[in-house]
Amino acid sequence: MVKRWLQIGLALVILTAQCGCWNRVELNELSIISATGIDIEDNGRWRLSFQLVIPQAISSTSGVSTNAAPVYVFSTEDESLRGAVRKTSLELSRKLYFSHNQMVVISEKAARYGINTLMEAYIRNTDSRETVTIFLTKGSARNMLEQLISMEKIPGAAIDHMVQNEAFNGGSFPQMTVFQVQQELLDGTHATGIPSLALAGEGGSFDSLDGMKKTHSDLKVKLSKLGIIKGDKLVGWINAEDSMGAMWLANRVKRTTVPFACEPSRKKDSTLRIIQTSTRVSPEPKGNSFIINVHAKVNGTLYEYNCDADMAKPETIAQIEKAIAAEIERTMMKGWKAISEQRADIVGFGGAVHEKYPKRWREIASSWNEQLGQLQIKCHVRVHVNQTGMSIDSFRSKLRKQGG
Amino acid sequence: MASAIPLSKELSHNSISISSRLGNSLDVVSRRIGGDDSDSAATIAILYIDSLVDQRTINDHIVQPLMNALLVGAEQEQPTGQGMLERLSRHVIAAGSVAVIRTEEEALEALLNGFCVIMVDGTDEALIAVTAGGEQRSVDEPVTQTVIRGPQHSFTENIFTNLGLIRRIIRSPNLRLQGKRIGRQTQTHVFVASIKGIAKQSVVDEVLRRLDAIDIDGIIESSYVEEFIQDRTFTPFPTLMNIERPDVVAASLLEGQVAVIVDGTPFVLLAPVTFFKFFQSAEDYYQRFDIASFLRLLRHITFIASMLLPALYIAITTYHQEMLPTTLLISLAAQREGIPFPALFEAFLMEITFEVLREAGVRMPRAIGPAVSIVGALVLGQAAVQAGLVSPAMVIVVSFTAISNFVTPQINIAIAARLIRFSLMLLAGMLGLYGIMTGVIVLLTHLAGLQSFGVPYMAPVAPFIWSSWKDIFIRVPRWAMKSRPEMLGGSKRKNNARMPDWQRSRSE
Repeated sequence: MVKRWLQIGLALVILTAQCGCWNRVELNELSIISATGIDIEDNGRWRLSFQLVIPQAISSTSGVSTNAAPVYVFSTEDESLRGAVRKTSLELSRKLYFSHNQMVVISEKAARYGINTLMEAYIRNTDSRETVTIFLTKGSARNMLEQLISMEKIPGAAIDHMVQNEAFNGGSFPQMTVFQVQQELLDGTHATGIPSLALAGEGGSFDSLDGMKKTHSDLKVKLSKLGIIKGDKLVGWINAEDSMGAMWLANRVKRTTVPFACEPSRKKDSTLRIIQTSTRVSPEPKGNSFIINVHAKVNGTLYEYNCDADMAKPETIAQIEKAIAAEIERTMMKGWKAISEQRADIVGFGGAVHEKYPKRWREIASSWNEQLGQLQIKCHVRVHVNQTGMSIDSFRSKLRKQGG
Repeated sequence: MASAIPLSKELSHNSISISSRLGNSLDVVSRRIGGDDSDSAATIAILYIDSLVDQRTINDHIVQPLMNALLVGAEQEQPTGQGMLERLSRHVIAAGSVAVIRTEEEALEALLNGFCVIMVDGTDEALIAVTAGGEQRSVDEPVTQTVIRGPQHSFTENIFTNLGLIRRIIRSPNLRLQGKRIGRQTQTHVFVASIKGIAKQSVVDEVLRRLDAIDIDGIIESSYVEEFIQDRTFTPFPTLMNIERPDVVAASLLEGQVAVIVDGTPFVLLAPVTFFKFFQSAEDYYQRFDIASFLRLLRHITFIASMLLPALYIAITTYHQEMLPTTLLISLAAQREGIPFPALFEAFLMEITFEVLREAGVRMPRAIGPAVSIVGALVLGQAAVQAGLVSPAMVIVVSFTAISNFVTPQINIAIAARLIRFSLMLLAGMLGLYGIMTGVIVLLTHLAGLQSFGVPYMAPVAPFIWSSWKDIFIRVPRWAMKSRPEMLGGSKRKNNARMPDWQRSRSE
């Protein structure tokens, strides 16, 4: 019996010694971070900004009046990122909690300086997750964290949802997580694109709850340009339309609407809603360089159609499909032009070449980004209009048939 | 037992001696019949204990026939002594069961069991006739193990009524009922019921052997027997089941289990049992197999919930906040804002409060029942939250745990979960999910090592017996239950079990 008790006692001792997670923290001892901002000062020191969630102000169950701001933003400075995190304890009563961080904003200046410090911090630490969405901004990152988003309580989460919505339904900008950025930067082409946030509208800042009392806001956070990262540095920007082209080339478009002109003379006032699409890239060598064949398959539903053609005829549909294909090809080529000017292969053509011609790739890998301009891109877009929606002929042609 | 004192030939000596051995108690009645006018010359004496017999039986079937016999015989020549005794036994006494005894001890035992003793002057033998009676609770609806559909009667305190209830369901000559007397003072009837050819003989023998080993003053309830014959004492898990429903006992006998029926309690013991037997409700077999399977799965899940839920809540909110969705985390954090205690302490506070309420609910007189529910629900639940002592989420967790605990059909395995819950909560509070995992591993090891009368407790999961799985987590249609649970009885129940032909042609 004594032996048995001894065994149980020993098991308990070993149990406590083996334990991996000893740091018990109650929920009300945590400060939950919803967004982080990274700026760099003129003296080369990092300025980290944190957007902390104030749970009482958000949850309606606690009975406290919700006049308090839902988040609190503050900054610390140090030469290293973790050093700046350490300094937060100088002004914070609770332990910083990174696991629920929704997004990281990097200022243009910090991004031009280089983001490898940030990537290193994310790889090495257990409490920061690589699934955090990453953004750039032209101004200061802290300024972005201070903005409130209408309808939402937590701005960090709201912006994260915003880019998800855009990536899924809009298609101009991708949602880039820290993990994806790391993956693409460590890939053969060492280039990636990160969407940026900008303040649109009048006024200095939307950082007070008073702004929520109005039916509209003068100032709002918007997704704007796509920042091109090469190596670990920001090298340039491309606009939303070019970014859309890049998304097409990189097979990142999921659902979007494509405006097109149903007759060459008209403006682009008809639209196709894309339901499903995929892009496949196949390179073939040509002399010193390559021809990149981009095959895109697009299925969609007609959402708007403002011409007179008889939709009951298959020829009309074929004609529409051709017009849409031409429009998509144009977007792709425009995007490619912008990318090749930046000399950063953010769409992963290099990866396709690497896959198909590994030997050639080894020779040209180092100069790939510099010679992007020599690539010849051939787009083959096949559009299929699945449905014409709830009606066949356009309202205009119906009106005309009635003698209107 | 001391050497038996034989009855003497003298009637008055016998009757005085037996009465005095019962302490000349007032409820011992000694009725003298016949002979001359004086008591000492009576030819027949009837002895019984007033409180144990049915007065009517004594009057109509014993006293009256005796008197008639003596009256009729007054004109003829009366046999005396032994001859009289035999005549009474053959022709006069109108009781179902009559036996001859020769010692005072036998007479005493008969008296204490509600028999009456008929003594005749001039012989050293006596007759005993069954006249047992007295007030008994009638067969009622089951109180603790209720079903919506199914037989609505339950066992009573009278063992012979109970045996009858079982016999009435299983009308087979193979039903074996082996009786015993246990308890030095109480001399309680204990019967072991089994079906020959289905139950394993080794299990029946083992039950009898363990019953024989019991040496105790008295058996008041079947739990006394249970504690003596169970396989392990130091375990929270029961290795015998108690049942108050005759239909369940009969069905279990048909599966090869052995029942131990104890006089004086409506709870019949069943052995051997496995862990999963405790989650089978009688209702499972009276409802359609689909809903029965769903409910049985639900019961297993809620049992786990009733054991782990508070521990998981503590571990996740104090160690593994990253596992929670952000919005849930913020909502929980807002609720915890201003709560003075750590989550572990908070959980213990609520759990202990609930246990107190539950115990109060069971013990208090029925009339003040509603008061406890008001105090429990309003004062302790709502007010504790409003006062900021506990968080609303914790109240939800504790309440759901409590409700889950009531889902289990067998109360004694639910009790096991209650006890284990507290130790898992402690482990969770000190070591997080790692602690819970360790606790669960220890628990599973313990469960896998348990046995009930030679049957592994976790069968048919460990050891794995596929053929017995049809009635564990789900209940398959009845025609598919073609063999008996292997560990209990084994052997085939049906030879060619399949869907009935007419059903088959319709479903195609």
